[in-house]
Amino acid sequence: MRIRLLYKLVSINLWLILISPQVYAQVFDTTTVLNEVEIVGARIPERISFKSTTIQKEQIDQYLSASLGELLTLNTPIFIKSYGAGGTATPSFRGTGASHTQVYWNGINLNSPMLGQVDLSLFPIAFTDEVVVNYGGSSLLYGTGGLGGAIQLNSAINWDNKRAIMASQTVNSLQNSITNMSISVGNKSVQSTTKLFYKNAQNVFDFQNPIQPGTPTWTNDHSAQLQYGFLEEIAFKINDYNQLKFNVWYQDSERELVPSMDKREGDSWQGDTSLRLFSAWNYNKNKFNTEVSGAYIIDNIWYKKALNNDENPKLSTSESKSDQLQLHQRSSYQLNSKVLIRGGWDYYIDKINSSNYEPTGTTNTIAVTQHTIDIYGGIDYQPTNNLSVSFLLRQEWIDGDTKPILPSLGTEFSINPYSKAVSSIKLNVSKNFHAPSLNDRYWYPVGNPDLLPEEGWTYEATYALHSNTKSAWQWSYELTAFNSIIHNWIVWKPAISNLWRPENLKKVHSRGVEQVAEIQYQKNDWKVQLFTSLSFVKSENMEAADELDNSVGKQLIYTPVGSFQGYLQINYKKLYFIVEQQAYGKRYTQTDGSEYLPPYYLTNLCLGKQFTFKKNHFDVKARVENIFNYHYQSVARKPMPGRVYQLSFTYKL
Amino acid sequence: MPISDTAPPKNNLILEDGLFVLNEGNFDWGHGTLSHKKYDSDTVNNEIYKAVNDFEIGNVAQSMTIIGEKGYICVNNSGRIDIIEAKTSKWLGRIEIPKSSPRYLLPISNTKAYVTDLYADYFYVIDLKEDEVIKNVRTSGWTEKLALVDKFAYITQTRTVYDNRKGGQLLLKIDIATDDIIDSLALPYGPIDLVVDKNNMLWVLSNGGLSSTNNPKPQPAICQIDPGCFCIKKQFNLDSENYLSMPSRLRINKEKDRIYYLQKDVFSFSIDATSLPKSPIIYKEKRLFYGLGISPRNNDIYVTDAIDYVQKGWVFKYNEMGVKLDSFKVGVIPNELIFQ
Repeated sequence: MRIRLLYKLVSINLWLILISPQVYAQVFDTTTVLNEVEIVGARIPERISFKSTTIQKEQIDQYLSASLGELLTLNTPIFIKSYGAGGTATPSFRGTGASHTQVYWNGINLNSPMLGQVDLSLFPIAFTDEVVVNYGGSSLLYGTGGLGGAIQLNSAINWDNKRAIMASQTVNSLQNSITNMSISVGNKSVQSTTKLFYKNAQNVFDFQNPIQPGTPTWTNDHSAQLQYGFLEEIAFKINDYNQLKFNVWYQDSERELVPSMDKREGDSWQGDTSLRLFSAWNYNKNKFNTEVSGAYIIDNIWYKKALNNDENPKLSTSESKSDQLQLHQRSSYQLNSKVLIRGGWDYYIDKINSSNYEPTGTTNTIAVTQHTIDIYGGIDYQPTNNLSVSFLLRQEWIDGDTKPILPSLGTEFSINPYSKAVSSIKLNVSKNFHAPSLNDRYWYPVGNPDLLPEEGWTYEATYALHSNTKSAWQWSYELTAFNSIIHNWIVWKPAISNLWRPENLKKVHSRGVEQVAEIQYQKNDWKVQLFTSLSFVKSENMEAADELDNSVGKQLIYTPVGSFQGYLQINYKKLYFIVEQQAYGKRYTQTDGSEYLPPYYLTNLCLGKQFTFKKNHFDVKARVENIFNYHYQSVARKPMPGRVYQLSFTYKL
Repeated sequence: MPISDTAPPKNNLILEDGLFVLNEGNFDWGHGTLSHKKYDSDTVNNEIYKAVNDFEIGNVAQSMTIIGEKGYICVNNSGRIDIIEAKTSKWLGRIEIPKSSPRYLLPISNTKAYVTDLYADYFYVIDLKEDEVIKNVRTSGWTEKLALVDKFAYITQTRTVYDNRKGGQLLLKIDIATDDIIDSLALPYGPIDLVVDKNNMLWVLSNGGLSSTNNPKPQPAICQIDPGCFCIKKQFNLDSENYLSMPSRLRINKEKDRIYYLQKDVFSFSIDATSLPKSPIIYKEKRLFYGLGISPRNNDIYVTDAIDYVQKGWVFKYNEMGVKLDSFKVGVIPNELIFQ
């Protein structure tokens, strides 16, 4: 079903289908009948010869109450560092820093221009229909900065849809409640989807505190979070060749910040509000495909800290607002059966008003503006049935400064495309850079306008093997090795008088292997799926400023060498059972490796049943997270929950 | 919980004839640690507090004051003062001051001490018998260092970087009988450190602060203040290109007639000097000097290096002339040196 759809989508790229990793994923499509949908973000075809994986809607629907961070933790080798329950969650992709993972929503970059990174706890997974993970250089098709890679959140439009309603409610033993609703209506030429999300998370749990006298039991009661938002997506099909889309995404989050286990009482709060307006025009005719999109994004962040114990305590506050306009055009043209050319441009205006960019004693905020323009062009070439080559060149200017030119080249060779076990080899090399964020450049008084971009080359090789039979058993295997050295790595380092200052301090060597193995059995009423992902990443600092610096040759802090994610899912008729397993190796908390957090293992169980009554579909699911009640920390001395019981109820029409 | 690779010290360690090094630990997620080294032994004992007590000091361990048999540790970001037996570092109790940021403690009498605070606009009066706060005294900014001369205590007051109130760069004079602030003296911007010389003159280091509308031209200075007239007797201005060369850490020697401070390198001058020295006595070379202490035994100069602030730091020992004698590794962000 989906294969046919994909053929339709990229029929101009028939050969691409044969070897695209996205197709392997189709092998594991479930019995659920999906309507023919169109995936917005994939209409400009992903590059061949580069690694990307897709998390399909079906998988996403299982985690409607989760955040993007939680979903990625279960399905990808991206390590998520979490500041306690409900706290900020930042990614480390292939041993790189949080700002080296770029997040795109329908092709629009969502990384905060101030921080350069995203907080993955702020993205409800229910607001997306498809997640694509672009590894390393594969992110260059969308923009710069993804030294580790990129994550795309894409919407899907189903033109056959007349009406669809979904409502879902989840509660758990942390006193959290999460509500999702979605309503889609439309016809062959107009489609509208409205999604609502409401999360009231108290995140209350007890934990033993060994760093206090007598190891008392404390209650984690200062990490509550209130998060709500709505997303409206409207699409118009003007004719067979033209489509228009308009999206509005509003979201608000307020939370208490978890204190360290040193402290009984929390004293800080944070709020994040975002409004994202998006529109796109897509034209697709006669082998030519182009999408012009624009977005206006407003982000407000505030932070508050109580500074004494008075009834009306003295507060320290900071507030930042960023306005961002983005324009993109991405086009591809199928020159002939062997050659696809592609090209486009990206334009960003960032404007920041922040109380942190300005000397004190004045009007309190200062405005900073930055213009970025990017152009790219490339070619995908397939000389024979089992060989393909992809080349892309990208050039960026920031405030008129020419940045390094970024070439990337990949090739893929399919060894035996028609045998029962198809194997292929991918090789690619790419250069990428990450520009300093606006905080890096302007934060008062330490902002460093002279910072150089972080840049480096990445080399990558993938061996892939998958079954190609009609058997009840289907399997696939993929092994990737990568190597990259990043120069001018930016670190915030204390300068003097409790002030931290960003500097181009380090040279980081990151290399590793990633292995994904999947197997599926399907017969009659039974379906069994096993997914495992194992990765080893060494990511080390290679340079030192101080002669006594003992961090050289040591793994970067909060970056595990080994990590494992996997799940086993068994479906029998409408009953399903899932076991999820994650394991992470030790993570240094000091750069000289003198202190580390021990490895941790999390096991989740889930049992669910679907019912159908006339046209109404129900899904009831019980879930136990961290079933062995493992006490672990993601950030040192920030407590994480033990065993959590969760109940979900979903209704679909 | 994080696991440390530091070898635990011997059991029943007696901590005497040496110096303590108090290591701050990383803000929020780290932990402060206590190191001790005997003057005439090469052995350094690290993470003593944790080994003896089986729990942690807290984060941003700012200062330790020894009063008789007890050590009072101000744990800035954990809002409390932990009390240990100085000889063994065994925990005796704590003074919790919720949502506070305690910095330094000074005993005023046998029964009373003052504690300063970074953010709260208070200093606290502590009863040393009951080990509890008996009074909060309202100030108008960040109180930092304290000194006691006759019947008056003196406290430096400044403002944090993000505090945009005007003024507030003061030396406060407190009547120790009533704990009232009875006078204040305006000082160059950023009074941050305070010592008393042999003539009972007060010396204050002002770091100049950061450039802002309230402070258009940062001008670091060292002032000598006569408590008699409560006025500035001498003022030496320092050069400062930018905040990276802010001076800090005003210290005094055993005879209380030579003053030391850090400005990237270590400088020293006599209390009778008419100008500041042109060249340092110790060059930092490829290091980042963070803490400074002068041994009250023999005037040895101890300087700490926090390296990248996320790993174990070092202490370097020099003699009075600035000749390097020794160096040893301690904990994360070595801040204070406390000499026995």
